Amino acid sequence: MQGVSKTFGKIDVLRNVDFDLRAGEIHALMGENGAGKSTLMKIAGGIYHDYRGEMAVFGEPVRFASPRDASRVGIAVIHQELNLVPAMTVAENIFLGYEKVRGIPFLVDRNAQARAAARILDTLNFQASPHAPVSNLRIGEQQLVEVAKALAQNARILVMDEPTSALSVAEAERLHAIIRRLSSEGASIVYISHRMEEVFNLAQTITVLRDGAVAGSLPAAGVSRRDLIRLMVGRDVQEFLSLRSKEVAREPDLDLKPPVLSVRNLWLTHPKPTVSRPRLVDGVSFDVADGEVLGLAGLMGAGRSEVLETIFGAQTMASGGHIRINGQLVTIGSPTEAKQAGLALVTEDRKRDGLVLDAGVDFNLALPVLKQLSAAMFVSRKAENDLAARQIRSLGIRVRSPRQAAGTLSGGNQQKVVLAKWLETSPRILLLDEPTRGIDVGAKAEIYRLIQDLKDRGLAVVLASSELPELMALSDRILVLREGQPTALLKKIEFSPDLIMDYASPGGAVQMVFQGVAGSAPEAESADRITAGRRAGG
Amino acid sequence: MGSRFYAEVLSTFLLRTKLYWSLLILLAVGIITSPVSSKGVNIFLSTGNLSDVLRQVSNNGIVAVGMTLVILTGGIDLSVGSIMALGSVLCAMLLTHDERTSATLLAFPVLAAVCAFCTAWGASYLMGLRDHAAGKKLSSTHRALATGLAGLVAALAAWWLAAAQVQSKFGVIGVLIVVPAVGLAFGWFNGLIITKGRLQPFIVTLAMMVGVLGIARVVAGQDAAVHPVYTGTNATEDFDILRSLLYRIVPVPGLFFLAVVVLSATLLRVTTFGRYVYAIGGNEQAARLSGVEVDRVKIAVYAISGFLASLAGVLYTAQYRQGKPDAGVGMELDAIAAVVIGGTSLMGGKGSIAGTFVGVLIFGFLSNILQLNNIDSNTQLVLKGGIILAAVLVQERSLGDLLGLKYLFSWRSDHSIAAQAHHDFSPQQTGTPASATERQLTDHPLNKGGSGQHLQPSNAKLDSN
Repeated sequence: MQGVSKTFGKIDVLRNVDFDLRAGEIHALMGENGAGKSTLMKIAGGIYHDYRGEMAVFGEPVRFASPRDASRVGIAVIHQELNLVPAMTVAENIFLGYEKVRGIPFLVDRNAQARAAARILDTLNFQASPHAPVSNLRIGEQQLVEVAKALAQNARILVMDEPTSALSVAEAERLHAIIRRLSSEGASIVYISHRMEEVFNLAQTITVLRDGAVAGSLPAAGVSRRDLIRLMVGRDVQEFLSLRSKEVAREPDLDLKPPVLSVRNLWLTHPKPTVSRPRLVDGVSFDVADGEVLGLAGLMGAGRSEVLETIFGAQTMASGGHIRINGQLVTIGSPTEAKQAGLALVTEDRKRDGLVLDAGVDFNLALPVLKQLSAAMFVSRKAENDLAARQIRSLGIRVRSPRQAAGTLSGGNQQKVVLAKWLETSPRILLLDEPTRGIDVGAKAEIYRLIQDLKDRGLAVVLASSELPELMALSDRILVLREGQPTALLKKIEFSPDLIMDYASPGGAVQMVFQGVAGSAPEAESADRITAGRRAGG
Repeated sequence: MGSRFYAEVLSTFLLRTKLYWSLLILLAVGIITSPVSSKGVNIFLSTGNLSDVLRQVSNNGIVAVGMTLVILTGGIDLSVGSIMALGSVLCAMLLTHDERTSATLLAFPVLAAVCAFCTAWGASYLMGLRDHAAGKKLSSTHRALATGLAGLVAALAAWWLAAAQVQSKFGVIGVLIVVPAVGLAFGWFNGLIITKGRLQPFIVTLAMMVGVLGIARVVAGQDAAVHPVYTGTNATEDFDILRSLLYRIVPVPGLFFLAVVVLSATLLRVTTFGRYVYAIGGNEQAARLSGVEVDRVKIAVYAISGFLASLAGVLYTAQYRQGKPDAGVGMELDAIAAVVIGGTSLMGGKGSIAGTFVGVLIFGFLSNILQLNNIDSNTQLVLKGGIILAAVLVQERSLGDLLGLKYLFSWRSDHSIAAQAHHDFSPQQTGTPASATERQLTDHPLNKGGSGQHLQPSNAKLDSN
């Protein structure tokens, strides 16, 4: 791939990326969340077609219009979220879209499919019945079905996006053995992973992406873990350094302040528990004081969002733990109760969870505080207009009219609307989940300033972010999560990208001793709350 | 300024009033095609005919208003026809019997339960106010005891009063309380299953539709497919009020319809409840995370729908002088059609009672025009189907799109008109802003055809990111 660029709106996701994959090679693609790894591979797989740049497969220039085009020249992409139909059998999934037919078209030859599937599964040393429904298989086995699917289409280039993120160690080993064999048989493999050991074990070449550009492409032999981390995160840290050093200078002694929000042993059930990860969030404890920003760091799937959602009562699965607000033990079973307790949650996906997109900005701003704006059920139009005017002015939300539909605003302005609607509830504790995701640099700076402001005004903030520079600049302390469990609580002076990445990545360092399953103390168990399955949205 | 400015003003005006244009066109067609009486009076325009139309649409209209609320939350209520039929059966039986019947067996416990629940809820609300004023809280046991007691008293009182009514056969006030209470209970049950059981509204209300039809038949009895009501002979005289013409022009069912329209439009436009309905339909997850009690609002919406359906059942009994279990067959589809013609999106979040009112009128005038022109009833159905499609197409497309205006004037791509015209969720505004269009394009089956897609500026999708 030569000089590939791709934009989403005004945001450059990929900038002039060159990527060379040699035949029979295992090539690791690394980078932080949002560095552009998946986007690059989606271009290679024919999913995105509006990119700039050239791509050639075995010397032939290609430009795919669909994933089918890509598979025709032998490229198969196995996405992080598996694309299998759970109710269909292994064989049916393997041949989905490429069914073997006999005689009349549309008449699927099940027997031929089953035989072919059995043959492919055999080459993978995978003993599963081709007739078994995929939903009966474990995640690791489903991964192998995906590999089988790729082989059935005679893939010569196999792209795997974090294939081991849901696998146990043994399953991962098995997958790696298969990858090595495929590569020795001449297939080329692009392997996207956060796990350094895997990459060192498997790959011959490592390419690191950072902010959509190639930060480095080097042979795996002779690269150190430290080098890789530096390549992945060593960017714009200086941009925030000035802000940061100022902060360090007047760092308050947080331990002396009483916590506003105190969380102990928070846990959340995993929808599909595995032995290695029985819970999505497990044993998370922290304190936040007035005027403090606590950062939550972790790789994708570490459970940052889930921690915030669980505290806010927005999670539907069983959960538990102790939450104290101003020292008072509280039970929060729903967002309504969270709101009453003085919490506010700005969600990661503002379009899905934050805004009524077709409704006006004023409607959205008033939604959480409608009761306060009304007398005996009747909404005061005047109070609502005042609120909208006030918030639009104070946050500098750029709208043509307060009644403009929220969905027509830019990402940054949408985010400000979500923030504003929560600020109107006068929260004491603000939970922010990726507050700057997908917004441009200018808006980011404004949001940063706003968070600083709120902090100075004495709000307690819990900030989850996948952008380390952002997290380090804004937070007073950072709690690092790995696979749902806390691994370190860092003070401002200890912040460094290398250290955080080390605590965040699997197999890395651990500062905290994990206490085991929540509520090992008997008194803790008794007060555990279970929120019964209140599922949000159908 | 200049011609383009006027074009924008005109287009905004047309977009905002689009809903009423189809009605006006239909009225024009009605006037033109109407037969003329021997005295030279246009029959379509005669007060007798117009008041007849209002009478005819009232039942469907009342049901459609409830349906609008449900659809605005993104749900659907298929059980309204059956609940209406049950209402008509209960009403007829309560009116004509002075002893205990299967109708009292069903209605009284349900009435008692509804009264108990409402009183308990009210009591708990009042206690909350009192606590708030006094600054201290009543203990939860005291509170439960007090609300329980209030509920029990209310239930016993309701039962006793209803039982006393039976002795003398039910009067008009009696049935107007008891029957809607039963509908409310069934609607409430719908909502409860949908929210707490986390099931699709379609399937829950479908099951309710079948089940309640059965209940209506069982209550009516095996041999009695129809319960006739003759006011003055087997029922009290005053029940006739519900079918009379006030001042010889205004039909009483029409008054009920108009009252329901005004009340529910008020409810939607100016109350917190109304906002929550729109918010849930627009983005349920966002509403939930904003602390809206989504489940309660949804349950209330289905309860209102059931309430209105059984109210329509009472009016049906008055109108046709009978209660019958098959009265509501197809009713839900008529109501949905009226709601959709009125521009309310089946995806929820967009629409209005005003739209539904117009939709109901379009439906009513359409039948009226076809009847006046003596078109055979089967052909009527075919024409109706076609016209519903056409009406919905008009509502879903922007007018400029339909007339090709967009090509005559090169519009600014930022949708400023659309955005302005969009603010109050009136259904007639389909010149949707970028992301709304995007969503509609993917979500709405009618938009899959793609004729609207080329109107999107190429950067629309990117803008909204």
